[in-house]
Amino acid sequence: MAFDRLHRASDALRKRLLERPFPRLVAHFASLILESGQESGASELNLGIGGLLAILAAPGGFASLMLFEKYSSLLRWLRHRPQIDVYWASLPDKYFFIVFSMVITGVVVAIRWNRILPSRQDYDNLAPLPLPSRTVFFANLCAIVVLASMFALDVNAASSIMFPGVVLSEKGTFGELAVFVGVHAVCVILASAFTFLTCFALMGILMSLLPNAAFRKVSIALRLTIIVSLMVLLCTSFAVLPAVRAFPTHPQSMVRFLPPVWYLGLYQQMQGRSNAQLALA
Amino acid sequence: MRTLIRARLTNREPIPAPWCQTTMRPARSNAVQTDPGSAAAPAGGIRTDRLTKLYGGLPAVSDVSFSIEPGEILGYLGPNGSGKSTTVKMITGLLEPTRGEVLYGGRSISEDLVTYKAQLGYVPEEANLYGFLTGYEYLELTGTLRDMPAARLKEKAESMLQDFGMFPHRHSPISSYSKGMRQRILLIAALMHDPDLLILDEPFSGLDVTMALIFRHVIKLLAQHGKAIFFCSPVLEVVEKVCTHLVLLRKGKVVAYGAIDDIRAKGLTPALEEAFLQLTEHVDADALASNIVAAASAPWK
Repeated sequence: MAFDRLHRASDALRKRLLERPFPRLVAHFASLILESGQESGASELNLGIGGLLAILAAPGGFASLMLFEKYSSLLRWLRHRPQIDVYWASLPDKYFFIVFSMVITGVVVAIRWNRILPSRQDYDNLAPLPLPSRTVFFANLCAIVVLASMFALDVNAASSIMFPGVVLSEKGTFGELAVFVGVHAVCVILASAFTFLTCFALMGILMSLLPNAAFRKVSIALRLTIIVSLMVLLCTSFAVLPAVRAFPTHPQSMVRFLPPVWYLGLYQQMQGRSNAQLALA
Repeated sequence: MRTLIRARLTNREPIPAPWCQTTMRPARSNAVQTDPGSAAAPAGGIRTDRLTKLYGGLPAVSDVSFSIEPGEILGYLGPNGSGKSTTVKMITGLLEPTRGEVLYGGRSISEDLVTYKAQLGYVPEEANLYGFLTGYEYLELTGTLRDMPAARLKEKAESMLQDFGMFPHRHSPISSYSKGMRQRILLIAALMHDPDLLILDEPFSGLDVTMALIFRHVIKLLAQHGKAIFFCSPVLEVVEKVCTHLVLLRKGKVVAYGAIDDIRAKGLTPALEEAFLQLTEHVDADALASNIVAAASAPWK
């Protein structure tokens, strides 16, 4: 009953908001980014926003569940490794979640790249309307920020709660768990935001520097490069950790230039488990 | 629209449709501007003053001056590539002229483009609509962005969808619409906010014969209601039937401007079609037609 009332109230609020020009324009740009943009919608796979969010949220949860084995005290006792510092032992997993967050965000941005900024179709439909250019620009920016935040939260929500829960499943207070959850959420969301903003900045620079025809050609190559690079980053995430662990002895290692390592450094720093080299990275 | 048809059938004065709510104003007399450069500035109408657009130094439109007063329908006629679309873009505020200016109500539109666009109903040449929206959603979007109150918007959109024969298709995606259906949605979107100035760039493109006939009457009725209408078309017959005034354009320059009857009366040729051909392309239509038929009839094996 209360849920129904809440649902009706939020629906009424949404309708009232969408009756005003600016929120309507923001919603329009958001739906343009999410839409396939194809004319024939019948045969294509159209998951809708709910389905898409569920698919993006699931891997983080599953990956966390898979780690139960690693942090189980019984299995550790059987392997004759009863005592570990879970904050250091979870380093590879933290790195994996940071990379995973960046990969999902980067791939989504690369796929929806051509829908992020207003297109010729937007110009044809919106330019004759009595809207100042800055209103159109800010509405588009708002739509991007809202969607990017929603995706970053969605991709990382399950792992932010489940991963610290798994790591501290057998020891640690509620306070430690809450801090772990907060630190994890901050680091993975910042990593997502970094990826999104980097792609967005790249797009803006290319659009400013190149003529339209050249931009379209370069854009395809760049999108593919982004996707391949992120996939390589994900597949090699397990190979990077030995180099990260060797930081104290090899501070000039090239892995310090990898963006996920920066966020791993931030993660460890916030948990008070960093070393000088990782903190500097 | 149905009201109009009924009125025609019963030969009675048509009752304005509910979405056409303006105070009836008498149409201005067909005063002729023989000198394009001396177009007077109407109080609520539009006027262009020596409008020029250069692309890479080449003139697409050169020194185009005309005015449209409330109640007038100005036909803007010219062959392909004569500068019609460039003029349309400049008077809709989508393109800045290289020289000259567009005045609305005596003020340059560049002074307050947003206010100007609020008075404007524009039907573009090409219907590049959002295919994922339904017809109703598109009207809702444009109406909301024009800051129309939601209840009024719903009422007007539904009424006009009904009149344009689009009501049964209002919840189908635009991607499934034919060219004529998309054109009808554009026409509704251009009329829904009751604009004082209508700029129609080939509005009959894709419309079937009945709908084109009906819309022709709608344009005339809107002019009677005091709207200033700019009607751009490459088709002489359509302009001749719809417009009160005419601008003939050739290679970006105005070659004739005035009331249609006056252009006819000037005696350039007996028929306006001949005048159009002489003024715009300088072609011998009969000779050219014979050449085309001869070429098509030539042996091909």
